[in-house]
Amino acid sequence: VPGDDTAAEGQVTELYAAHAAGLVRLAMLMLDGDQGAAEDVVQDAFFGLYRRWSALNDPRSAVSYARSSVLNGCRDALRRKSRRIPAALLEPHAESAEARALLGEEHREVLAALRRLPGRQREAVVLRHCLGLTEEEVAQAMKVSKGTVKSTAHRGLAALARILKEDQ
Amino acid sequence: VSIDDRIRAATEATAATVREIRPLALPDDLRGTEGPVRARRRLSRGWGNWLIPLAAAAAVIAVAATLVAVRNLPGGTSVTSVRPPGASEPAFADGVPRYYVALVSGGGTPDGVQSAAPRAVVGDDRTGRTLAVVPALPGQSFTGVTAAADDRTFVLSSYGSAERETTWYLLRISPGAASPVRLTRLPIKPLAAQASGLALSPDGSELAVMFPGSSLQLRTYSVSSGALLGTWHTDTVYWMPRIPGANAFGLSWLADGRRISFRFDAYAENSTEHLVTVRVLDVTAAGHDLLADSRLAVQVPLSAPKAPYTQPCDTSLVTPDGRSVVCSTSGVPASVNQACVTTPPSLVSYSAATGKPLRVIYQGWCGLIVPLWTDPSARQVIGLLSIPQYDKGPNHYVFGVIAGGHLTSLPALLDGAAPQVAFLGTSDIAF
Repeated sequence: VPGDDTAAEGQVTELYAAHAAGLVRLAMLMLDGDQGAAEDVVQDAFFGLYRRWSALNDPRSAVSYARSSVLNGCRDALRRKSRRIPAALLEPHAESAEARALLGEEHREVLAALRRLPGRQREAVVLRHCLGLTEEEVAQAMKVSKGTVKSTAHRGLAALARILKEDQ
Repeated sequence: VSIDDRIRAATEATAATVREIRPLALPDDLRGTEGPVRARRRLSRGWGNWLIPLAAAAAVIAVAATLVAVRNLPGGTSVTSVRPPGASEPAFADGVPRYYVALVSGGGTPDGVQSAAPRAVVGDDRTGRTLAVVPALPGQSFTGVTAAADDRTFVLSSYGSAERETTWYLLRISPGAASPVRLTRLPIKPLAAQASGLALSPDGSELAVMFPGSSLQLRTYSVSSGALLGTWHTDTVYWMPRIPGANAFGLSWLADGRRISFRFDAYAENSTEHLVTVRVLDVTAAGHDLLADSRLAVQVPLSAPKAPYTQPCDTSLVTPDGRSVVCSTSGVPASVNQACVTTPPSLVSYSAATGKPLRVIYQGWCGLIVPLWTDPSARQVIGLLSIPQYDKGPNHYVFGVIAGGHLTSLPALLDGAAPQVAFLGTSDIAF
C-alpha cells in the first residue's frame, strides 16, 4: 500500500486503465446498457477506492473492492430509477440508434431477457457467465457464499432460457 | 447454441457498442475523506476532451473510424510527409480511387448541415471537394456503403427503425454533371435484420450481405433483379468482430468477382483462446456451409487483455488477389497519464498461403491506423490514422496513402477534422 498521495493516485489510475473497461461493461449489463450511468458508477467506485487506498490491507484486493463497489453502485442506481418511475410504467430500455445499429436482433433479445431477471440472479449471471469470473470472485463481489453463487447463477440461467423460449 | 454461448455473444456485442470512456480524474482533496462522493461535477468537467480508449476491444472501436470496401490498384506514388489539409493536389495519378462515399453525421462538414441521422457525402479525394450530399431517407438511417470497381457505382444500406428492416440503394455518381448523383432503391427483398457484412462485387452486379442471428448467414443478390443468388450459413459460435457496423465481418470481394473474403472470430478448438480468422469463399462453388465450404486464409490469435494490451488484428483487409491480409495492430494506453500508447499502432501484412507475417507496412507513434484499401502486394495502402489529442481536443484524423513506411495525406473529408464518420465502424467509407 503506498504511503503518499502521488503513489496512490498513480496506482489507482493504473488500475483504472486496466480494469475500467470490464467494469463499465459489467455496469452496462446491470444498468440496461446505459453507458453514461455505467461510467458514473465506475468513476464513483474508483473514487471510493482512492479514498480508502491507505486502509486497504492488500492491494491485490483492490480490483475485488472496485467490483463490489460497482455492483453496489448499480443497485443504488436501479433503486433510484425504480423510485422515480413505477416499475410497471417503465418503458423498455431506450437504446440509442447507434446501439440498435450495432447490436443484432439475437443479442438484443438475450439482453432484454437478462434485464427481466431478478437483481441478484442478474448479477450472478452477468458476473459468472458474461464476464467469466470464477465462483470465488463472484462470491467476493456479491458478498455471498460460493454455494449461493452457484445456485443463484443456475436459477438465473434457467430463468433466462425460459424467458427466451417464451419469447420465441 | 447453448444459453451460455448466447449470453457471451450478446455480452461481446454490448461491449462493442462502447467506444470510449472518460478517464479517471482524481481530485486533490478527496483522499482520506469519508461520506458520499462529492466531486462528480468537478470531475466531469471537461471530460469530453479527455477521452481515452476503453480497453483493448473498445479502444479499437474508439479510434477506428473507418474501414473500406475498395477496389482498383493504385499506381500511386508515395511521398514522405503528412500533407496538411488544404495543400495542393497530391501527385497520385493512376489507380488510386478518386471518388468516395462517406457516411457522416454531426456538424463541421463542408455542406454545413446538422443532422442526427448519417448522410452520405460524395467526395473527391484529389481536390477535397464534396460533389453531393445525400440526406438520410425519412425514417431511415444509412448504415453502410460499399463500392464497385468503376469509381462511379456504390451501394448504401439503410435501416428503418420503424420497420426494423434493412434496404439497399444504388448510388451512381456522374462527376461534372448537373445532377451528379442518382439514388435508386434496389429490388432486393428487405432484410428483417441489421446487416453486419456488405460488399458490392467489382463489376457491380452482385451484392453480398452478411447478418448475424441464431446462425451467421451470408447471402448474395443480383443487383439488377434483386434475386437471391446464393446462401451460406454456420451455427458455429462466433465472436462479434471488434469493429462494429454494417461491415463488421470485413466482407469484400476479390478482384476475380467470384471469391469473397470475410472475417470470423472464434474460439480455438478445444481451447478458450480467441482467434481472428480471415476466410475466403468461392461463391461459384457448390455448398451452403459458410465454414466448411470456405478456406482459411489467415489465423491470428488475439492476445490476452493484459500489458502491453496489444490487439494484433483489430481490422483486416484482404488484398484483391487474395494472397495477403493486412492487419492493423493497436495498443491502448498503459496509463491515462501517459501521453501515448505503449504499443505503437502498425499495419502488418500476412501471407494468406502460410498465415505468417510478411512485413510491417507502417508504424505510427501514437493512435491507431486502419487500413482502407490495399494494392495486390500490400505495399501501398490507403489508411486512416487517428491521433489522440487527449486534453487538447478530439482525435485528429489523417486519411492518406501509405507507402515505403510513410503516409501522404489525401485532401479528404476526414483530414484534420473531428470524428465525423457516422458509426465509427467498418463500412463508413467506400472508394
